Parts: sequence; C-alpha cells; structure tokens
Amino acid sequence: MSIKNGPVFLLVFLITGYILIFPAMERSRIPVKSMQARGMILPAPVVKLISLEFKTVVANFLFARASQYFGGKIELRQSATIDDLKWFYRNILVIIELDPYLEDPYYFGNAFLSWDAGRYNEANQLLQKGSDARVWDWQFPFFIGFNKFYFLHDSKGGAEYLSIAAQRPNAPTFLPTLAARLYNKAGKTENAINFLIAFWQNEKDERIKKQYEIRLDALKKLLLLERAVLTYKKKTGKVPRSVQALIQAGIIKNIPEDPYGGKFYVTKNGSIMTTSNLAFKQQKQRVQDQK
Amino acid sequence: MSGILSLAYITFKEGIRNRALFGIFIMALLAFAVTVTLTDLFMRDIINVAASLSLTTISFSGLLMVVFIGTNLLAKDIDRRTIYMVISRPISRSQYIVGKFLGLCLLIFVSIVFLGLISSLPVYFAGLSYQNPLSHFNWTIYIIAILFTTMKLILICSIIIFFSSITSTSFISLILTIVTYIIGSTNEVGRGLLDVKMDAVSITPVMAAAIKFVYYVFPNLAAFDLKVQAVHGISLQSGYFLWTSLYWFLYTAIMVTAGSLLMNRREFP
Repeated sequence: MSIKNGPVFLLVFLITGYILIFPAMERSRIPVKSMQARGMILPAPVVKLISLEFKTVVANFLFARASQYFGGKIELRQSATIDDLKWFYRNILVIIELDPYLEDPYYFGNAFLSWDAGRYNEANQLLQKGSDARVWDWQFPFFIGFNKFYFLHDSKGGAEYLSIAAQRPNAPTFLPTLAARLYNKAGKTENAINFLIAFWQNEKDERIKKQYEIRLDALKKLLLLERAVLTYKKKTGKVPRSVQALIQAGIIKNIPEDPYGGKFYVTKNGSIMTTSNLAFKQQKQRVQDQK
Repeated sequence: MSGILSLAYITFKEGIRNRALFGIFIMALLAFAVTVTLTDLFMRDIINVAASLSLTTISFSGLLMVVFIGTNLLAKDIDRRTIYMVISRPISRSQYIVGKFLGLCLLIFVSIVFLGLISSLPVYFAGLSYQNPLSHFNWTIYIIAILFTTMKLILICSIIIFFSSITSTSFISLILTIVTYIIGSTNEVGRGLLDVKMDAVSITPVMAAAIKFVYYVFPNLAAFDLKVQAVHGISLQSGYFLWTSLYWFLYTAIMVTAGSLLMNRREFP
C-alpha cells in the first residue's frame, strides 16, 4: 500500500460512517420536526416588499407551507385546532395580496370558513375577492350563491349569484336550472340535494366525494320524511307529533337512519330536523369552541 | 460607428467566455429540472406553478448574469488598468461606453433567448400532464413577460454602465447596482403606501418627500414584472406596452448618456 491510497481509504471510511449514522440522525429529527411551529406570518405589505419581483413564487411557497402543515397534522392523526385554522386563514389573506389570481387559497379559505368555522359572511367576502379577480372562473360566484342559499337561508341571493356564475365561461350547464329553481322558492331540501349532486359530479377528490355522498344520503332521507309529513297533513289535517306517528299512519315503513348518528324528529310546525344537525360530533365541537 | 459595433462584439464575446456565465446556466438548467418535479407537490394549478417558477428562474439568472458579469466587463478594464490602452486608442470615450453597453445588451439578449426556450419546457410538460380547465395560461403573455424581463435587465445594464463610469472599483459599482435593483423593485410599492391611509404607520412630510424622490429618480422595475399576468393569462392594454417601453427607452438612454458624459470628464490616476 503506497501512501497515495491513504486519502482514498480515508474517503471510503468517511462515506461509510456517513451512511451508517444517517438513519440515526433521521430518527432523532422526528420528534423535533413534529414540534415545528406554524411559521410566522408577516404583514402583507412587508411580504410584498421582501418578495421584490418574486411575488408569485412566494405566494405559491406560502400556500404550500400552510398546506403541508395541515397535511402533517393529518398524518400524525392530530386534529386541527381553531388556532390552526385561524393561522391558515391569515396565511391566505397574505397570499391573495401577493397573487390575487391563485385559485386554491380562495377555495380552501371558503371551505374552512363556511363548513368549519361557520363564518359565512367572511367566507363570502373572501370568495368575492376571488370572484372579482378570476373573472374567467365560474366557481367562486357559485360558492357564494351556495353559501347564501344553504347557510344564510337567502334563496334569492343564492339564485342571483348562481346566475352570475352561469354567465362565466365554461360554466356547467345545470347552473341556470339550479338558479331558476332557487328563484322559484322550491323546497330548501330539494334545492340542497340538487346543489349537492352538482358538487358531487364536479368533484375529483374521492374523499370529498364520499362526504358529499353521506350528506346526500341524509338529505334524501330528510326529504322523504318531509314529504311524508305533507302526506300526513293532507290525510289528517294535523301535524304529526312524532316520526312514529308517520309509521302508524302507514305513510312510511320505518324510520330512516341518520348517517351522522343523530335521530330525525318532527318540530311543532311540522318540519323535520335531526339531533345531529347534519354534522358529525367532532365538527360541531370545533364550531362550539370558536363561539 | 464601426468602432462601437466592433467593441460591442468584443464585449459580447468576452462575456460569453466568462466562466461565471457557464455556472449561471447550469444553475438555471437545474432550476428548470427541479420545476418539473416540484410541480407534483401542488394540487391543481400545476401549469401556473411551472410558469411561475420558470419566469422566476429566468429573472434571477438574468439578474445574476447582469450583476456579476456586467460589472466585471466594464470595471475590469478600470481595475486592471487596461483602460489606459482603451483611452489612448482612436475610439472616443463615449463610443467606448456605448460599445460596452451594446455588447452587454447583446449578451443579455442571447442568454435570455436561450433560457427562455428552455424554460418553456417545464411549462409545456406541466400543461400536458394535467389539464386544469380553469387554468387561464396564455403563451403570448408568457413570452411578453420574458421580453419585459429582458428590457429590465438591459435597463439594469445601463445603470451598471453609469455607475462604472464614476466608481473606481468593480466592487463598488456591484454594490450600487444591487442596491438600485432592490430600491427599484420596491419604490412603486412605497409610493403606493403614501396614497393608502394606514392608522398604524404615520408618515412625516420629510419621509413622504423622500419616498417620492426615490420613486421618480430610481427606476420603477416593478413595471417590468409581468409574472402575475403571464402565469394567469391576464392580458394588458396596448397602451401599457407603449408607455412602459418609452419609459424604458428614455431611462436607459439617460443612464448611458450620463455615463458617457461623466466618463469624458474623468481623470485617471
């Protein structure tokens, strides 16, 4: 062995050492990675200044960072706290300042604000910004219309926004029909089912499709019971005292099961509600925490 | 005139041979390759992300090129005292400045064409792999964005020329150019803040005057940043192109002319 081989052997030795300690280093990172703080959010004007001419990339990066934080939580089977959701929302506000034309921030901002946090007006404000920027996009006026109709019980407002959406390029062909139905003040449950079918058809993500299916199931059962109540009223001239009364009157065979785990019941004025309020227990708890 | 053109050509060849250029190109090519893989991380707007990253790579590489190689080309002559050889030649100092500037412009132009062509590959592949019906991407505006980036880089070249004609080392003109770039990228936002009333921030009259001064005197580089428009396919009115191009031409010409004037008056130790 001449002295020339010395450095080569040293290199091999060092590389072997590197390969050997790598897994241990990786393992030691795991608890530290999960401790990761959410990341600071600077005010939008500051981020704009720092980004110089690279605003679009910074916007994408911030959104990816926020999404990955949530993905990490889901992976570790931790549920997102209300603080997390608020952080996400503040992120979104900065992101849309940097690049107001990105699609996903508005989409997810609305999803969290309306379904999780119950802040429907803020959701609509966010969607309005997206709708004003992305004039070629039919989705955002559509979501505003849905929020108005479904959460804010404003059928007319819902129909108005659906009509706006229908006029945008590549709008789905069922929009005008849906709008017409809303204007017609057809039953809320029927309209909700129509909306949901539209959402379900349009959705590509299998997990979200499943959620729509569960809801569709619940709403169809609700509609069934509502129609049964109407039949009962026509027959007896009175409002049924309970769902059992419908079975006794021979209108329905058995009480449908609420997929959200609640029980259907009849109110004093004859409308059908469910103890679950069409939400799984977890979801409701989150909204309550925030209130 | 032929003196200017031949000097321009020599400058261009010098730049092309610069090893730093090679390094910058390698970095850009790597960035483009990374773009192709990175787009997988994003949910739906893939083509937007690809276009965004591609344009950013072009901008950034161009900037590196201009700042490091550009400052080098002119200041090198001063540093190495080869400037004496130049000024003793039958080429006037103004011709020297203009020739150097044109050589730099040619270098930028050729490099950006090369980078621009390669940059369209990740964007093209992103468009193939996922057809987002709501994506509004438009090749025309993408190319215009690259054109405007080229204009911005040429403007920065003229600033380098200007600074190099008054400073004595390449390092100082490098720093001054970088500072001007940062100021130029943000002065429009600063000017905009004056019009917005923010409760938390109070702006004194002196500060307001300073912000306005910086806005008028330093170049408004944000006007050449069309990344948002390119990525989302938003078209601009033709008036915008006209006025911005005029602004570009005038500012660049002022810088080059001032640079050659100052060069003429300069005493070399």
